[in-house]
Amino acid sequence: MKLMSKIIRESWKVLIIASILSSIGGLGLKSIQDKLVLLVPLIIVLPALNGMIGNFGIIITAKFTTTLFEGKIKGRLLKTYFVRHLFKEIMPIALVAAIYISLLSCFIAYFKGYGFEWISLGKVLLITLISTITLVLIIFLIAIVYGYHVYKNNEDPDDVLIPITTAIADLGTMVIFSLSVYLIF
Amino acid sequence: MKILGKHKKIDMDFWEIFTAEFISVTGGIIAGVLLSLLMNKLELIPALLVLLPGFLEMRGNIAGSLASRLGTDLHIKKLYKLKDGSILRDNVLSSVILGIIVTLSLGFFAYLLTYFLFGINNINIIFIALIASILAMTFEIPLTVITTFWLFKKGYDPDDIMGPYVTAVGDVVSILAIVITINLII
Repeated sequence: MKLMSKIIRESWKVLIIASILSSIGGLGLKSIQDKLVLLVPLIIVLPALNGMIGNFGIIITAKFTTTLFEGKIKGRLLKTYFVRHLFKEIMPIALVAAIYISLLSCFIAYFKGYGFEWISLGKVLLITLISTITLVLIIFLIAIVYGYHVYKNNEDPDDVLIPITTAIADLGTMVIFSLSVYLIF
Repeated sequence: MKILGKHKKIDMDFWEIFTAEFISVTGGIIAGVLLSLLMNKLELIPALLVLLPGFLEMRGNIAGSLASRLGTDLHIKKLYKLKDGSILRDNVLSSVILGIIVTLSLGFFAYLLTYFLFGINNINIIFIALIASILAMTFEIPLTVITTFWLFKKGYDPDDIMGPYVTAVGDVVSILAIVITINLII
């Protein structure tokens, strides 16, 4: 029971704030609702893009937290072998995954009868890549720097940081996505 | 862990993350296809686009934090097996309680936002959020616990795999739960 109340106490505020932040991002979607209804590949790509960025937030936080608890993080934070190594693993995967979801969403939209244009594929790809590169960089920095701060305050980064990084991922994805759709389409 | 090749060495973590991420984004695409089915309901439930990102976020966060905590406890040997009572029970119960608290807050927020910004008074959004959340949790939480233990037992690092896994499963299950709930209510 002690553990349960600790988890709830540490998590509830940040979870509510994170979810509300994401829903504010939903206002961005609402503002481009008319375009979204017509651009099916964008609707299809959205949960995957959103989930992908959030995934990286969870992976970076979970691995960094475990490494912190194992006592393996020493020296200048951003220059440690673990942090540099993790970045070199995450970024290429993010880029390949971004290309993959863009292609797959256009492919599925085509088979749903929405036609295919190279220019649309290029635009979906551009929106996905811009969102991915920007947000992975931001999330990586926040997860490592703020995660260390949370750990030093004797809190569990797993409880605090995962909602924060995924909220930034969600809000950031919605904002960059909506802005790019507005500007590019 | 490293896999040593002829000319290069490839980190095992890389492949775990790579594979999990690709399965996850494919799940995300399936969620997107389900979402495209919901687009014709947007006129009936205007708060849906406001609720949806927060709802998906919350589901992923709760299951993601649960998996990450269990992963850490397994790594530091605080938790050995599924039968380890109190730690596991507290983790699961706290996830359920958090799910209900956050869902109610989110549903209420989506209601207020659409009321004040768009002048739409639709209290149904709170009930849709709550019912869909309970439906989604019924599948997600047991699945998260079982998969985390299974992966660890098989020698994989749950930290690499569970994040993408829970968000993919969470997205598909959550959107499906919303579709079912909307069809029940409207």
